[in-house]
Amino acid sequence: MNSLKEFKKITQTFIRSKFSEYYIKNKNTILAPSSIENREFGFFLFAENIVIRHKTFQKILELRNFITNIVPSDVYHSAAYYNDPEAPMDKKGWKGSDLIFDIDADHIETECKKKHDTWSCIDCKISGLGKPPQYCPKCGGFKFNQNSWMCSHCLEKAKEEILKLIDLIHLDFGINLENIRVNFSGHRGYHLHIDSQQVRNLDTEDRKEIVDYIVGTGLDTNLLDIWEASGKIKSIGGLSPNDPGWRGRLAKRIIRIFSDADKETLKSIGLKPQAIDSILSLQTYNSNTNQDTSWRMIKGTGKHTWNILIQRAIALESVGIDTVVTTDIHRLIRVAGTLNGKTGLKAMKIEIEELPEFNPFKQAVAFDGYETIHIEEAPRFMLGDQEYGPYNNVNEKLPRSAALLLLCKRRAHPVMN
Amino acid sequence: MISERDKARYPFTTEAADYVKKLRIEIDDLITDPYKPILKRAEERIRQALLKPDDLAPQEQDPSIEILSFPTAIMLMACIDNENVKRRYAVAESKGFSKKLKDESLEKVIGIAQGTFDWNIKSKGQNLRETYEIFLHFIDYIKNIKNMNDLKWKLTNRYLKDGYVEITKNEAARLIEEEVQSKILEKTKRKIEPPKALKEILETIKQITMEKPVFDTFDTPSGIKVENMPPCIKKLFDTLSAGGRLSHLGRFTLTSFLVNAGATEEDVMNFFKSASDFDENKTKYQIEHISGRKGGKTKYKPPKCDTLKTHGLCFSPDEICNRIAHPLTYYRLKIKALKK
Repeated sequence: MNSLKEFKKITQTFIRSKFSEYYIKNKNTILAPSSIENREFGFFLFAENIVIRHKTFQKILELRNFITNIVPSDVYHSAAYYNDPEAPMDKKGWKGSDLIFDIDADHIETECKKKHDTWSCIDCKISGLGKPPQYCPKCGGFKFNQNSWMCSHCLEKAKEEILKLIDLIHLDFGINLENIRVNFSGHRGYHLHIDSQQVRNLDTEDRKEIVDYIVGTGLDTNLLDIWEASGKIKSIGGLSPNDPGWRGRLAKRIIRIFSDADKETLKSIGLKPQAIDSILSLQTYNSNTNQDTSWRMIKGTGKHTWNILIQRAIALESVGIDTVVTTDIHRLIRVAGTLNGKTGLKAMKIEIEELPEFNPFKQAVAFDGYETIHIEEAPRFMLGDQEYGPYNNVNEKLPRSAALLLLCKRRAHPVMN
Repeated sequence: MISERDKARYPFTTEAADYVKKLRIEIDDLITDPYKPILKRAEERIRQALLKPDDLAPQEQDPSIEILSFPTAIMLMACIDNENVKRRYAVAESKGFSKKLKDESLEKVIGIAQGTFDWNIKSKGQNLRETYEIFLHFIDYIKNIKNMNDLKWKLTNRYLKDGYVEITKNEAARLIEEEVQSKILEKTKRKIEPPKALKEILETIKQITMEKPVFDTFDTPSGIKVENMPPCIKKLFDTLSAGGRLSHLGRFTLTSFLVNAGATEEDVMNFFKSASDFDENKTKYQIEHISGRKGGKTKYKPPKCDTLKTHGLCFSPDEICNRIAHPLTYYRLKIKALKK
């Protein structure tokens, strides 16, 4: 009987050989970041805990050959530009950094996480569903192993967020679409790069200010001018759908909340019956014109109601980015056209106009052929056009991409002939 | 066009700097009789800035003396080995300039912003709301709001479209103040070996700096290690250590954190002494109230992460931050991890 450690090693060797075949065939699809000679590259190897950092390449060809020879599990480049990318961190000579955003399903609340994600306490080994708690309920420990699953619902949510982000970056920050690059990470999210001279020299604090804007942090509702118009009617004066920035977004969103509203939703966000009735009695709201002011004066809406609506609108308009990634000016980020060692899927560039239709479970599939594996445990999942699982302790012959997903996720091991 | 008088009023402008460069005055010249008024005016600038900043006002009778006294004062400050004094000088001078700028025409303010600081400005564009007068590119905007504590400055609360932020003329003057302040700080930071010719005046200036107590060394209160502080607290700590200013909530957060992390009142008091706007009685009152010794007798805790986020005080959250909801929890986790 093989020990767990041996299984792990066999699985790694197997995945590595498939990655190697992939890179020999597809190395030309690996994309170089701009100014490749000023970037630091980092590699995770299949052998555990081995990381190669501070590597540099003069040409994309060198990078492609290196990847094909070494066959790493994951490949990263620095968002930053350095004078000497090979030097130790404090001697590299920072020359600027792309502005990057990471949207990861890990940071977006979805109901299905309680079904497909698990955690276990490193100290006492107890486990549970969903996100790990702050402290282990049994031993009080605070270190956990997390086992997440990529599901189409979570990724669809992540896509909604990246589309919202593009909208903000383009319309509010005035960044040209040509300077915005979107990549699928090959796992649970999307990366957005702004590669433009304009943003390169922003420091951490500057980036924090941009992050706060994108998340809607620090929005001061006192500046929004909620006032009592006459009698019991309170109106909101400081917002108009034509306003630039957050005010316009909030106004449009509140109008949308009104026009999409049903009794239950309005009740669930804490509105009082009178306000709900008057919102529902006004059937149509027009967000495209400034003429429509009916939404501003809703019977039974006081300051309290307006605050609830504004908080709701902020929550819906806020973009779920991983804020740490954007403020870190030395961050490493996945290279487009390489494989993600956690899934065996491609990290890849997506044209912005194709993004709405992008399906990672089809377009990021990297392998063809079949593979027989032993699956310990896996939930139901989609890949390509097919649905798989759930599995429990069985041998299965699966399309190679599905087999690799389970192997990379450590839910399976190869079957030796 | 920038007039002679403008150069005297705003000696930080490119035009004033060019004027000075053309004169090719050497340091040794400054102690000769014809140039002595410059040195005298520079000394006066420093005295006012450090001791009575409200008295700072341009002397416009002789513009050339006024223009030259500014770089001279900066050079003198560069010879003083005290970061806090330099900061106090920079704050006072730049405040004086922005007070004047607010009375200038829109065209002049824009002219200085573009000409000296290279701001990317679209003025009087279409769709500009009535009260606003300038479209400023967001990059120039965020570079200059770092020290602003009022929420109205947060980009989130501004009209932002196509990369431009709408601001008023007075706001532009306030942002120019920040530009000038960092320019002065940068210039006074260059270490200069005090020239022999200026030995005497530098002695006088050292005397001036001693007239207000300044603390330039920092002890961490009660063995609270900076590396165990959450990033938000560390940021507040660093700001104050560097002689910067904190908002009321920022000050409250830092004080209550230190008190709850076990710092003695005396330690916290000593720590705050080095703040650039230190007021002994006020600080003492605050510390005593927060620690629960006076007033309601309740010991105050720092605000929750959510509150800090809302007020823009949450800074660079790290991985530990993702798992906690209160800055004190961060500290306890760190201490606990160290004990393991």
